[in-house]
Amino acid sequence: MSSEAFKKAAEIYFTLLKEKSIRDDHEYFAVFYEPDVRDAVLILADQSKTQIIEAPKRIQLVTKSNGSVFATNFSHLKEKHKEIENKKFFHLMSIISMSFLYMISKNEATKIQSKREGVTFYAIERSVNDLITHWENMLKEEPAFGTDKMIDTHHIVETWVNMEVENQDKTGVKRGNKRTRIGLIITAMKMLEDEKLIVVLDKDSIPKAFPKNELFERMEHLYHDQERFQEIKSLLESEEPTHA
Amino acid sequence: MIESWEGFGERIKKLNPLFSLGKGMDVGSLNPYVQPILVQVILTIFYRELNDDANRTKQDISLIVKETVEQMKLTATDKQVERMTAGLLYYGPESLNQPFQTTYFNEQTSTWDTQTFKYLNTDELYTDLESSGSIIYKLTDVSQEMIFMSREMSEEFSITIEQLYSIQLIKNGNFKKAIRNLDTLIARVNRLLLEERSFQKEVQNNPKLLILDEQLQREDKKEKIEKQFEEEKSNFRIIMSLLDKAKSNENYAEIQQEVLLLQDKIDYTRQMHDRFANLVIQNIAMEMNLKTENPMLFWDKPLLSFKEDIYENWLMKKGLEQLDTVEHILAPLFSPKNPFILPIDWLWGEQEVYETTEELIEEEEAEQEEELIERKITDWNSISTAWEYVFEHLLQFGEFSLAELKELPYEVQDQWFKEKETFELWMMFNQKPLEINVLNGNQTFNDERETLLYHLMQKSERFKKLEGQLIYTEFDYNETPLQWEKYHVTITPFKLRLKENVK
Repeated sequence: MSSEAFKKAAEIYFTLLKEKSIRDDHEYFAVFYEPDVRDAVLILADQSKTQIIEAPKRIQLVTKSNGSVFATNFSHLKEKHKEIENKKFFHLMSIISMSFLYMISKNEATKIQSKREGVTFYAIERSVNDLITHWENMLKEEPAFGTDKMIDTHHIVETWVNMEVENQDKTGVKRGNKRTRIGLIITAMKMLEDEKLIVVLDKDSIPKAFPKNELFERMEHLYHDQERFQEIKSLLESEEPTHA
Repeated sequence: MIESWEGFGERIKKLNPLFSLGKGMDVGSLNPYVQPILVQVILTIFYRELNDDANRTKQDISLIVKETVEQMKLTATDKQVERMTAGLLYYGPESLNQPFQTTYFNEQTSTWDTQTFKYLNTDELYTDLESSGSIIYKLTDVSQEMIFMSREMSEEFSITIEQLYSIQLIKNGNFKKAIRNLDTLIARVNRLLLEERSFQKEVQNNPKLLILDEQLQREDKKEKIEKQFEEEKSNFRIIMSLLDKAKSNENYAEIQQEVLLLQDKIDYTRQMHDRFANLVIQNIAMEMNLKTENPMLFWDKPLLSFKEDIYENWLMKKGLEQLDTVEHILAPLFSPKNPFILPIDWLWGEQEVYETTEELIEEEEAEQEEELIERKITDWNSISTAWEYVFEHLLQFGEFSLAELKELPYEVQDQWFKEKETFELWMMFNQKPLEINVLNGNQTFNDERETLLYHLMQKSERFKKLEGQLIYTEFDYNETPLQWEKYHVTITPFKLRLKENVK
């Protein structure tokens, strides 16, 4: 590989690191697709446990599932909730994020609809509640389910079930908190908003999350990609988490 | 006069025809449905008028009523049909042929005045009075107004209808109205243009859209669409030639202004329309291209789907057992956080301070436990001692540069790093300006900076002078970054400034 190509690759990689994405109107966009340059960028990304998401309109840089040397908005949220008594909130917010991704990607129609009309935080609350009620029933039928795992799963379900939907006497812009379901949803959505994957409107009435194309591109690459098929499958099938 | 009364009478005069539609007639079982039926009848007559269809006699109208009733899945006796027909044409007994009468409140004279109107009247153009045929009806201004009122809301008129309507107006020499209608036509074309453009964007972003909606399968109807554009083009030609004819009119001088304005508008509309037609054809070509050249885009059903494989078949069934995996699934959605500008530790430090303050606002009483822990480890005495010098300087000179810290004796500099918060407060001042309120010990502070100021004011009365002032920061880009190697801190210097009497 020529040093010229490598220089370009490094420039692109560091631009990605700084800007997170390069749009198709950027001078680097075409440069990236020079075969040598692309190969080199991919190596740089791989070595730093990051990955490149290529979509027609832009390329983006995200971290890999585990072992990335970089902090992210997500790792930050985790860090903030690392104490035992707070961990459940982090898990609940992860579950909220999963539910949101599910809602916007059920099919093409929900995708377009959510882009145009947004998803209200109350709708997210309903969806999370469906999931947790489902788990609650599973726990009732099979009390041993999940008990010997690291995380006290009962505790997570219980926390959600006993949580009020929202604080009724508050008006104006609602803020994130750990006391109500909507409070948790606000914090989880704030994380996605900070990552510029969604836009939140109507914050002072009925907040709604509008997913952006960046989010769909990342999802497409991470969860629907043929090449990553085995990776995801093995992730989902790893029955035994490694712990003492 | 109070605004709400301004033009009140005129408003009511516009609304009265709506209020009175079908009101006086008793058609028994059909009473609840009589208004929609009549609106539909009026619309039908209107379209016939636009299309030069002369079937608008009383008999025709009663036929329309009958068909409308059937269409609406209702039944009506001949008597009811007759009643409704007559009720649209006249007020009271048919023999008297009375116009409709309503009252309205005239706000200018403070009197109740009478308004008379009809929904339909004779179309002189078509009615052959001499051969004593039947009267052919057309809509009055009043009923046209009704249609346009409802149209404004539904915007369902196509370009062609707008054109036909303009033609009709021009034929009747009603140029003023035609000009107004042209505006609607322009708005209409503009809106369609916009829609088409955003559709083009959407498709480029996500070609799968094309196989979604049945309506979007336009390439199959390409010919039909092209034909429609041709037709619309010829309509424009008719309008133009009508206007040309108007020029040879004997009283052209009177209408010249209007005709010229109309011509300009039509020219503009025609251009817009051409552009729109072009775009649609272009989009159809793009759709066809995408489908033939990239069939993969449409077959490619991913092996995995977030909905089924991840959410429904895994998270719902096993997710509770493997919450750690949820983390691995979500983690790669996020980009690395920018590790530049400040050393990573610093970046973290800064964010954590920021986040704590935010949470203090967010969570108020609820998180008091956490708050207590923080309070215990924060030695405000040490912090305020370090800051005392800065505020002293601020009060005296109105500004203080971070660079000046470097010039202080080493023992004093050490003081700045004894408590983490001491130095972090710099970052907080840099985040947003702070307006200093009157502070007292009974309140809980949302902002650590306020806590600092409170402690300073406790120390010395002279700091009370700060109340009501604004503290903000200013960057000095020419300065080289400051370094405290001993504490692994590098930071671009900035200045704190004081502004008085902000209120």
